[in-house]
Amino acid sequence: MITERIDFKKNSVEALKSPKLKKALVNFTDRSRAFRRKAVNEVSEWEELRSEARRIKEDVINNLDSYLLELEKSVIRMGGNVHWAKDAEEASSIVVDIARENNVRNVVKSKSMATEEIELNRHLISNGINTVETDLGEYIVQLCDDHPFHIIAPAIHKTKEDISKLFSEKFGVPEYEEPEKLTEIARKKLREKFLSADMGVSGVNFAVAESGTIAIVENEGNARLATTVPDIHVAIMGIEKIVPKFEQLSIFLSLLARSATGQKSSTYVSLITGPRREGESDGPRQFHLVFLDNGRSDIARSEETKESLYCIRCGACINICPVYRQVGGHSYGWVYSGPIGAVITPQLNDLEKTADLPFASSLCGACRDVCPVKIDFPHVLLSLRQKVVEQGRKKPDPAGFMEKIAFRVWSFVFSKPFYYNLTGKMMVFLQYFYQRDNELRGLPYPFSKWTKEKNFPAFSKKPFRERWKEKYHGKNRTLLK
Amino acid sequence: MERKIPWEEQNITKMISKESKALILQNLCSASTMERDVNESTERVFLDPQLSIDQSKLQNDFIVNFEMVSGEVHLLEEKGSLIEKINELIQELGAQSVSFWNTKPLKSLEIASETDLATADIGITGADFAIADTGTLVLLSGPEQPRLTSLLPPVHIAILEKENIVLDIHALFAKLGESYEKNYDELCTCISFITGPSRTADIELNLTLGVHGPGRAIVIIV
Repeated sequence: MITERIDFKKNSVEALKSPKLKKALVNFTDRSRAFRRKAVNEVSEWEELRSEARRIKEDVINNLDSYLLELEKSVIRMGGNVHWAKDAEEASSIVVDIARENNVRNVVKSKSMATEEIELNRHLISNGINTVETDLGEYIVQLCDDHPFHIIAPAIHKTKEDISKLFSEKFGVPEYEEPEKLTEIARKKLREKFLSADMGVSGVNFAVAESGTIAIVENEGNARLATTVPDIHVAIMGIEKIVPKFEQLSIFLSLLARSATGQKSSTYVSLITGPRREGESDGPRQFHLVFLDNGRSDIARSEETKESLYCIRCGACINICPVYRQVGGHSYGWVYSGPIGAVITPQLNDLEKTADLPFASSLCGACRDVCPVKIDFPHVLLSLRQKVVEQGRKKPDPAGFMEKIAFRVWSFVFSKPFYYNLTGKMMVFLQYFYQRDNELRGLPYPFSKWTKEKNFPAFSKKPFRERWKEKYHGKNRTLLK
Repeated sequence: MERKIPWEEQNITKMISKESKALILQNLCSASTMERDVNESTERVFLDPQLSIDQSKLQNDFIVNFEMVSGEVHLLEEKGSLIEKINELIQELGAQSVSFWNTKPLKSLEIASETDLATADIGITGADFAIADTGTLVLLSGPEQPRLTSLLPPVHIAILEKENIVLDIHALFAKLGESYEKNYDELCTCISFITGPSRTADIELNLTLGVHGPGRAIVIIV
């Protein structure tokens, strides 16, 4: 839960100061975008898949109550247990109680945003239950007592030097720098944890209503281990994760891997249906599925924003977002970052504390274009902004007033060629004191807000139209047509 | 198995859970404005039924895609030499202990004695299906087909019959639907899709193989 107001601006300014972070972010987003584009271009029916996925999700959210009941019935039929949690606190206490009831001492966890959302680790640990994250990135993040930086790549903000130092401090090993070596150390440490764990906790990527099957997607194999080795498997799902039909999984699985990491398929996909059955030598003996509401049923009721629940948590919107690329994951102040964070965080939390987030976007719409379920992010963000302003959750920005004036002036100047020319000429004259190397620096308020961050290109003494006239006057008229 | 009497807290949780169920459903009830969408267009809209599928092309595509994700493929012309091939691989890898599925043709495998899975050097399994388009093996769990054989040992070898390669993931689900006759009451407990060896890019985006699962994934196609 969010206890303090998220100050997006302050967080961003802080993040922008770190060149190390900047490098990691540019690297990561560039690569993710290129991989995704390539993987998507290979699929000729991509647009049909997106439309179909969206149609299915619309149906699911419109009928979520009956699908939840169907899923509950299916899970119980297959020998599993279902728990309903209205909020984070309740979900955590359900898991803690399952652990206590079975005298569980050691829990292994695979990566799950829902468990981050309910801060499950804190609850388990404070109840004396050892809890270890097993996704390599999450493990690193847990060892340094940090928060995940990205829903797909939690530790991209750590360099290998950071990690080698961390491992050396924690495990008393030499400071290896090779990622292979570091991975090997983590593998050994975590393998012991897996083999001695009595309970595995996972998230859920999709849950099939008709069959009671949950799908878990991953690359490392830790989710497979966590859901197979321990005697008890507890899976936690946001109630929006439902897919009605088993066969419909094919659509969502092909969309997810390609959108998230640009892989044709993630290395491992596990479709789990109930606990181990008679004759089987492995798999958990108990299977528990926790339905987490935590504000989702309220979103389902909002016509304007319910599409936020169609999200399949691929992270494509985060990777494409020009804002995220600059400010990184922690600026968004909670579990979900980027456009999906800006949309989901204010709706799952107190709007007053999260009022900055719907404004943390330029509304460029790149997120909408890459979203595998076609969430109209700009629309949802605008609707949330409206709500924030209507409820008076945000003080009118002083810049907002200046902006209004600026746009008035702009529309006046641009309305007639005469004003436009005149202003251009005036600017050439006015800029005299601020101009250096063809750039404007240190402009007075309110323009100082711009020049504090970057220089403004100087107005040209000879505007483009004049240069054009000189060069092409009387000739090459075809160019103008 | 009879379980111990639940703790007091458990009773409380069950009560909470029941209450919450009513609460959540009530909240959602007002959101439900429409009838369920029963239009099942998803069945085969993505595969042109006119498309004739060439099995040898499927096999080639599978090999290309599986190798692209650092998997290894061996092609066997005749089934008889399978045991030889496996023994050859075991020698090559210098494996001391092997664990394998108790299914045909592995049943007749006379190789190094089977050991505890946790310490085995190689795990050998079959593959119920494979997907050409993504280079994916599909393994169903069952009494003779444990899930951990393909997961715990550092090397995984899978035996794949080439007739079981399908075009894409949609074809795979259609095939599963066919074999279960759309009645998923009998669905096996775990279906594992495996696309190459275990991998991570969590440290500065460096691709590293074998983080939790096998570092080598080898397929023998017969």
